This record gives sequence, structure tokens and C-alpha cells, in this order.
Amino acid sequence: MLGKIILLVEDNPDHQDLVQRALRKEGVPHLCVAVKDVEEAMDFVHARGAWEERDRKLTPALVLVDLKLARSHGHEVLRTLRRDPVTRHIPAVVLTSSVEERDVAASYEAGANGYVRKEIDFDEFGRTLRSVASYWLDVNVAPEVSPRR
Amino acid sequence: MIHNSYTLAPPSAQPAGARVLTEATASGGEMGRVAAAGEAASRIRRWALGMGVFAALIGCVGMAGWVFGVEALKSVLPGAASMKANTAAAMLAEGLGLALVASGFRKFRGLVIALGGAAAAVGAFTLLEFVLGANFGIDEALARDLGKGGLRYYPGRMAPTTALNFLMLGIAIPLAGGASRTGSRVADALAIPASLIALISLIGNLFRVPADSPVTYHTTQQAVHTAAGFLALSCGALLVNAQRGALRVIAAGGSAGFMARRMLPGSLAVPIAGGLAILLGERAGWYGSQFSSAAVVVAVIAAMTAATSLLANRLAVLDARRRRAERSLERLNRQLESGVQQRTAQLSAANAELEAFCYSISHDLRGPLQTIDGFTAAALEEGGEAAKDHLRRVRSSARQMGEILERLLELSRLSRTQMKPGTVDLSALAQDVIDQIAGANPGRIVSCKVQPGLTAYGDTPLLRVLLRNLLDNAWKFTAATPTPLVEFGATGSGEYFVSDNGTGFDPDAANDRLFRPFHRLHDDPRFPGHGIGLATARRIVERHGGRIRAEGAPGKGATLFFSLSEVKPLAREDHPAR
Repeated sequence: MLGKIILLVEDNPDHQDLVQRALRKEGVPHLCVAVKDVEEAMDFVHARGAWEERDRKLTPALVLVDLKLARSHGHEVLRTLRRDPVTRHIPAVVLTSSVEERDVAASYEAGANGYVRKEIDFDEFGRTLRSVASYWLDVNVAPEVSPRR
Repeated sequence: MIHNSYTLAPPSAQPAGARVLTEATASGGEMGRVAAAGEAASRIRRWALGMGVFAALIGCVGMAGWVFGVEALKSVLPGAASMKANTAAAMLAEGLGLALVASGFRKFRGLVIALGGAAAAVGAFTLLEFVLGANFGIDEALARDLGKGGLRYYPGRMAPTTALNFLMLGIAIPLAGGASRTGSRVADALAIPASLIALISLIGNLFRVPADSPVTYHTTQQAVHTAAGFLALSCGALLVNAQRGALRVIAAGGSAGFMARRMLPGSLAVPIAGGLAILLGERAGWYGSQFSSAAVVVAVIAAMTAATSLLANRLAVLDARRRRAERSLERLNRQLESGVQQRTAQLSAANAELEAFCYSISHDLRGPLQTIDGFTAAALEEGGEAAKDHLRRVRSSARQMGEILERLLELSRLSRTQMKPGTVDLSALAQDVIDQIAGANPGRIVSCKVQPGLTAYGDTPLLRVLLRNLLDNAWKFTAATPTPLVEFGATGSGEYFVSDNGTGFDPDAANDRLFRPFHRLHDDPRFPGHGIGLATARRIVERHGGRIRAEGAPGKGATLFFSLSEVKPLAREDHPAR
């Protein structure tokens, strides 16, 4: 079995790399695809643009959103995900270095399902990611979604 | 580093609070003539002292009359009742007692009580003689009364009203000087009837009321100077008591005390003088008793009208003064309130900015730290060639953090450095900065236009940092443009500008985020940055009293306009509240 797809929206290539490494190191049996902004994320979901060639049968089962993207704020990513009929039920977890109360509240307001703080300690960050992935992908029961209605 | 745009008041500037105080003191001085309660109290004590001395002197005069046998000193008015020897002695004692009380020496308290008690005892025993019809032999204890002025009672015996007055005042005077509240009430209750009796006797003597009925017989039997002495003693007792007693309004500060002090002496002197004058006219045969009554009515009307209008005028003046003071107080309050509101707004803006700033710092410094920790861990794990790449990333993140901290320091220095404004050749400064940037980036060819002859009034080092930040940006965002063009110049309306034909930005996404620390609009790796440059630029422009704004569109380049205030920047620094 190939495992499920985790879509990571993160504009810093180093951090993209770090999240993927952490998931790999923790032995999370799923595939993490990194995109840099909301446009690319939607391109991936709908298999168009740079992602036209990908297997259309695969839909992300979990979206990780970095809250502070320079071009489009993370909240915008969440709102876009919630507007689109394909992605509206996909669990979205905010991944950020901020634990400001207003950020947390605004994230849930924008449609987040979870809110996780990035630890500076890489090992701890990895363990956090593993528990997030295992809850949302293995424990949680998500509705069936089809890429085209 | 946040508070520069609303700099705290320098010590040379007069804060709003000090202004308020000065004006309040000025209007307080205006009211001072009416309000000095402490001064009024000491003046009242001096009056009481004078009255005590006056009564004591009258006692001395009476004694002299008895010692040297001078009838004029005993009776003053020919044929009138004489002051008896006992009366003169008791008058001297009570006068001394009052003077001691008024002078405020606490250590003479025992003496005051002794003097008062002795006089009261003389009064009490004389009254007993009247009541019991007895003779205790006290009446001629000091001197034999041969009755040359005409005897009314037993020889040497004082009138019953005199005896009553000595009894009441002998108790009232020590009590008036005492500390107890009840004592002061009793003193008032005794001194007021005593003063009325003395007044009736005095006026009866002055008006020469014939002793032709029981009422007039008993009310006019004090000698005229005895009555005057009693009036002085009772008024003195009331005055001494004025701090707490019935007359405390005259010792009070404010317009009430002022009014009482002004009106009381007049209300005593005017009727006596007026009544006497009318009576003398009647006696001289100028008119009869009907006209006298009419004249009294006219005099009363005239006096009351005059007093009322005087009072009313005085009150009107005080009212106007108070209204003025109230208005100025109100104005000051309003000023203070708007000042407070302004400061509060500035402070909350500063707080919000500080909060946003801390938030951004923690956020932006955590990013590189995560990278450093993550790739260090990866390098440790993997080793070999891969580790080199990881460590390169670590170094780059460390350098990035260093750069952020460097820019932060620069930003904070901006707020703290003292400005030394002067005329600055902006064109030359811009050219200099462009040469520097070009020198640091030899690989790029950017055509630059600098409008010649532009000058400004400002701080050269700060303006250099401003131009460097703006031109750096222009340089950076034209990296992907085939024929990059950077321009510095001035518009017709006095704004300077730095423009480029680079990537530009989306004005909707930008709004005011552009000039806040750490807000970046680009994530393109070709345009590295930390989002501090424009925040720094804004801070410098604001310190010069100017404004900065940006215009642009995606792919169409960007233009940053800034103004440097016409007002000399130093003057602005001195008056942060304006």
C-alpha cells in the first residue's frame, strides 16, 4: 500500500525539507508533498499547472499549513481550502512558530482542524509531526472525497 | 525603539501639567484676598486682644476714680450711674483674662480661670444679695460709696445687670479660650446675652433713657463706660470663640467670612450713631418724636438698602470671579483630557506596534533556528558529503539571523541617536549611495538617473540610511528585469521619490503592511530580505516630520514617495505633543 498523501503548504524550502525529513525519520508511512503557496496547493489538488501530470486518483488526506507565508497568509490558504468542494472536508492543521491567542482563534475561524506549534528542537518537532499524522491519518475517520464530483 | 514618532518630552519642553499648575496658582491668587482664612483668624485674635485691653483700661479708669475720688471717672456722664469699685476691679480682672486668652498663651490658662472665677464670684454674690435682700458686706469692701453721683441701690453695690454680666462673662471668657466643644457653646450662650445687656445699657445711657419704668430702670443702670467695657468683653469672648463657636463664619475663609467681617462692625456702629444723631436732633428741638420715628424709618431703609446693594455688588464681583475661575478650570480640564486622550492613543499605538514587533521577532528568529537545529541533527545523523550540504544550510541560517539582528540594531539606533539637522545635498547623497551599491554588485548593470540639485533640511547620516534602504530595494527588485532602471528625483509638490521598473507589488495586499517591521510581500528567492528596510525608512522619514508612501503594480515596478517636513525637524522634536 502506497499510503496517504500529506500536502504541506510552506514557502521556506529549508522548512519543507525539514518537515519531510522529520516525517521520514519518524517512520510515518505516508507521502508528503510540499507546495510553496495557495495557488500551487490548489494546482496540486486539481492536478493542473505544474502538477498536471500527477495521478488524479490521489487526493491529499491531510493538509499542513505554515501560518506565515510571505505572499499569502496561512489563513487565506485555509479559507481557500474550505471554499473548494474537493478540499472542504480534508483535515487542515496549522503548523507555526506562533502560539498567539489571536492567531489560534483566527486559524480555527478560517477553518483549521488543528493547531500545532513548531518546536525548535528537531527531534521534538518530529515526534509532534508523527502524532499529528498518526491521529489524522490512522485514528481519525475522514469522509470519502472524490477529486471530481 | 518604538517611541520615536511620539518622542517623550525633553526636559526643556514645558509639560502640559506644569502649565495647568501655573494657571491654577494665578487664579488662586485672585481669590486669595477673600480666602485667606488663616490670616483672618489671627486678625480676629488681635481684635479680641484689643477688646480685652480696652475693658481692662476701663476697669483702671474706674479704679482711679475711686482711689482719687474723681466723679467724672466714676460716672463719665454727669448725673448718670457710676461705676462701682467692685465693678472696676472685676472689669479689670475680666479684661486681663480676655487679653490673656486672646494672646493665646496656654500657660496662663490657670490665671485666666482664676481671674474669670473671681469676677464671676463677685457677680454671683451681688446677685444673691439682690435676691435674698441680704448684705454680705462685699459692696463697700474696696471703697466707701458716699453716693455723690446719686445712689440707686445699697451704697457701693453694682446694678443687677452688671452683676449678671460679670457672672456670665467670668464663665464665658475662660471657656471661650478652652478646647472643649461644649465649653465653646456655653461660652457663646453666655456671651451673647451679656452683649445684648451691655448694648441696651450703652444705648440707654447714650440716649439718656429716663428711668421711669421698671424695665428702663433696670436696663439702664450700668455706667456708660461699664456698658462699653461689657460690650468689649462679650464681643471679645465671641471673637476668641470664633474658631468654633457661633461666630465661626467670620473666621471662615471664602466670601462668607469676608462678608461677615466687613458687615458686622458697621451693623453695630451705624444704628448707634444714626439713632443718637436723630435723638440729639429731637433733643435740640429741631423736630418732634413723630419726625424722629420717621427719620429712624428712613435711616433704617437707607442703611439696609445701602448694605444690600453693597453686599449684592460684592457678591456679583465674587460670582464673576468664581465663574471666570470655573471657566478657566473647565478649559484646563478639557485641555488635560484631550492631552490624556492623545497620549493614550499614542501609547496604545506604541503598545500595539511593540506587541506586533515582539511577535514578529519571535516568529522570524524561530524560523532560522528551526533550520539550524534540524540540519545540524541531519548532519550528525548522516555524515559524509550530505552533512556538508546540511551544514551549509545551517551557516546560511545563522548568517540570516545575524543579518536580522544587525538590521534590528540599526532600527533601534534610529530612535535613539540625536539628530543634527542641516542642509543636505540629497542628489549627491543618492549618487554616492548608488555608487556604493553598484560597487558591491559588480555583476549587474542598472541604469540610474539622479535629478541634480535636490537639497533638504535633515540629518545626513539618517538620510543616507533612508536612501540606502530605498535604493537597495529598487536594486533588488529589478534583478529579474531585462533593462533595469532606478530613478531618484522630486515631484512638483515637494515629494522626493525613488522609482524602479522591477517586480512591483500588489497594492491591495500591501496596504500598510509594507512599512511594518518583518512584513514581506515577496517570497521569491531572487529577492532576499527581512522586511526591515521599509520600516527603517518610515522611521527616518517620520523623525524628519514627513510621510512615506508607495505606489506600484505587479510587474510594473514600484515608486516610493517621501516628504521631509518644511518645519525644522528639531523644532518638531521639542514639541512632541503638537
